Formats: sequence, structure tokens, C-alpha cells
Amino acid sequence: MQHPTVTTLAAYVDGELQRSAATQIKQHLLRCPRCRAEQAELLALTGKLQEFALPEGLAEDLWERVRQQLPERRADPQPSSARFLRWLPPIGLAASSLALQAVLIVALGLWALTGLGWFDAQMLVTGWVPSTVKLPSVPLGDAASYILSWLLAAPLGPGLITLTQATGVDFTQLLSWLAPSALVLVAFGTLAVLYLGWLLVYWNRSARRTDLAAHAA
Amino acid sequence: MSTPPHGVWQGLTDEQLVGRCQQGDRHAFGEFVRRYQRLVTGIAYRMSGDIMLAEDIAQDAFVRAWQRLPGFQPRRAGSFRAWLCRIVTNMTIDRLRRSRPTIPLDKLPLEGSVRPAEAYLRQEQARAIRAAILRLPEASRVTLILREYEGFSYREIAEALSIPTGTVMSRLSYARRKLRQELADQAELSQREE
Repeated sequence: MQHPTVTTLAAYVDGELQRSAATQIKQHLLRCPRCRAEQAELLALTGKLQEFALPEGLAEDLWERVRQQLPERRADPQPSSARFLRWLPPIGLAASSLALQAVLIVALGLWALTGLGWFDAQMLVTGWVPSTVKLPSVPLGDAASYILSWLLAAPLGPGLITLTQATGVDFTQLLSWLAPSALVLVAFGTLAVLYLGWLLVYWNRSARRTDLAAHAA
Repeated sequence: MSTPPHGVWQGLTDEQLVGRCQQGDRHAFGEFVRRYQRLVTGIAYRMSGDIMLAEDIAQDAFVRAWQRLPGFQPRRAGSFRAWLCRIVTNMTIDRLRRSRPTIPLDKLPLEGSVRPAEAYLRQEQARAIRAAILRLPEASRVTLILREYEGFSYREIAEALSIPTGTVMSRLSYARRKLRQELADQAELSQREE
């Protein structure tokens, strides 16, 4: 066996090593005068340190002094509602992110089904959008077109049609204008939501750490 | 009531006492003070080298523990003893940083000790050891104190200081190496002076 490090030898002297490791050190010490000398130094230091003893009468009847200082009312523990509220933002953001991604997955699924000829996603869109609206055709191809048209038409379509009927101005054209940038917006939105979620979880954890430190300090 | 009723509370574990204290029972807290006053004051004294300051810190540490006990959760903070050690360690470091000693460390009086002639050398040795300990960095100093004077295991030190066990070992190793070096230097100096 090689010479143990000083740290390992100290752990042996402190009785902190596991039995197998301690046995190895013990056997090594039997045949290594250098390590025995090191062990003796460590033991001697422990002995010397005991000379720095506590003064007599230290901390006698401390309770009497402490008792007079104790406040009548103590700080209340953090209510469970506060703990719940702290977790609410990250959970909310994570849920929003999941919802956003679920919509994208559904749209992609519809497009895939359409591609296979098992479903007609265009029907969903044309069901909402009047025939006068030219569905956007973005450079990313049919997939993006279907996804964006569906995404935009579903929430905006009925409102725009109502607005168009009420005002006489063709607001449905907005769909055509919004579509090309929507994919980018959705992608950045998802990233932003994920980032904010991570940030809030991080904040929450550090706030918890600060709380623990405050409790301790 | 001036003293806590020891007999009633002595048989209770720390966990049981924590429960009582969290319900606002001052007598249960009195038992905590009695149980840990030597530990808390000892840490503060050996960290600071000043008996008056140590007693002040110990008192404040217990008051703070009482204030923080409602939020104390053993699952998060570990044992009450480790938690209390963390409080007193942080408070001592904080106080020491705010009021650096102006007297040289090796000239500080050893409070409460007698000065018979035959004890002179021993007292000098104790003074040298204390000065060497006080010169250690705070992190290594408190680790050494918990191990050498309070008999904490590495795991308990790690829990009390919120550090990994490996860090405990390296801090202890550093503290011991520095102490041996300092004490050897001082012994050499004394021999030269003689």
C-alpha cells in the first residue's frame, strides 16, 4: 500500500474511515515509520489543542439572560399559501409552454394526417375563413401553411369575420398579413416561455436558499 | 419563573422539544438553552477569543433561534444541534467582521484562568494555541473547533456548515497543517530567545 495522504491519515485518527480502509491504514502504520510519525504528530496536536480550555464559569445560567430577551411573540412560520404562491408563476409558465407545444403538435399531426390522405386539415381552416381570404403560402412549405392557417384561423377567424360584418372593412385580410411572421413569433414565444419558466424556478430555489440561510443566521 | 424546570424536560428528545418550542413553550426552550449553552458559548469563545463577546453572541444566538424556530424544519435544516451551530457560527463571523480585535492575538488575556507560577508555561502554550487558532481563516477555524473541541463527526460538521464532507476534510487538513507549522515556528522562536 502506498503512503496515505495526510487527509486520509487524519480521517483515520479521527475514526472517520470505513472499517476496510481503516484496517489497511492500520496495517500500513505497522510497517511505515514515516506515517507513524505523522500519526503521532496529529495526535500530539489534538492533545496540545486541549490546553486552550474554556474558562471556568463560562455560560453559566445563560437561560436567565436569554429569557429576558425573548420576544413575547415570535415570527410566524411562512404560511403554506405563501409557499404555494411562490410556485405558482413557474408552474403557470410551464403549463402555458406545454399548452403551446400541444397546439403545435396537434397542428403538425393534422398536417401529417392530411398528407397521408386520412384527413383534410384545409376543411378546418376554410370552415372558419371566408372564401375571399387567400390562405397564406409561406416559404416554409405546406406544413407551415397548414399549421399557421389553423393556428391563426381558430382563435382569430370568428372575431375577424364578426368585425368585418359589423364595420364593412375586410379585417380577414389580417390573416394573410399575420401568417408569415406567426411561425417565428410562436417559436420565440415558446422559447421565451421556457426561459422565463427556468428563470422563475431558479429564482424560487435561490429564494428558498435565502430563506434557509435567514432561518439559520 | 427564573429557571427552566429541568426535570420535566430532560427526558425529551430534541425533536420533541422543537415541537414544544414551535407551540410557543418557553420552558422547553429553556431546556434547549441548558442543553446547548456550553456548546454555543464554546464555539463563540473559541472563534473570537473573547469571553464577553462570546457570551453576548451566545445570548443573541439563542434569541434568534427562538425567533426562527417556528420556521425550522428538520427535513431541510438537519438536526437542531447542527442548525444551532450554523446560527452561532454565522453570528460570530458576522460580529468578528464588524469589530476586528485591536489587541494583538497573542496578548489577549486568558479569562478566568489562574496564574500560579507553575502554570505559567502552560498558560503561555495555551495563549500561543489560541493565537494560532484565531489566525486561521474563519472557515477552517470553525471546522477545526467543531471537530477538536466539540467532537463533531465529519458528517455533523458538514450538516452544521452546509458543506460537503470532502470540504470538511480539506479544511481540517489545512487547519491542522497551519497550526502545526505555526506552533513549530513559535517553539523555535522561544528556543532562540532562551
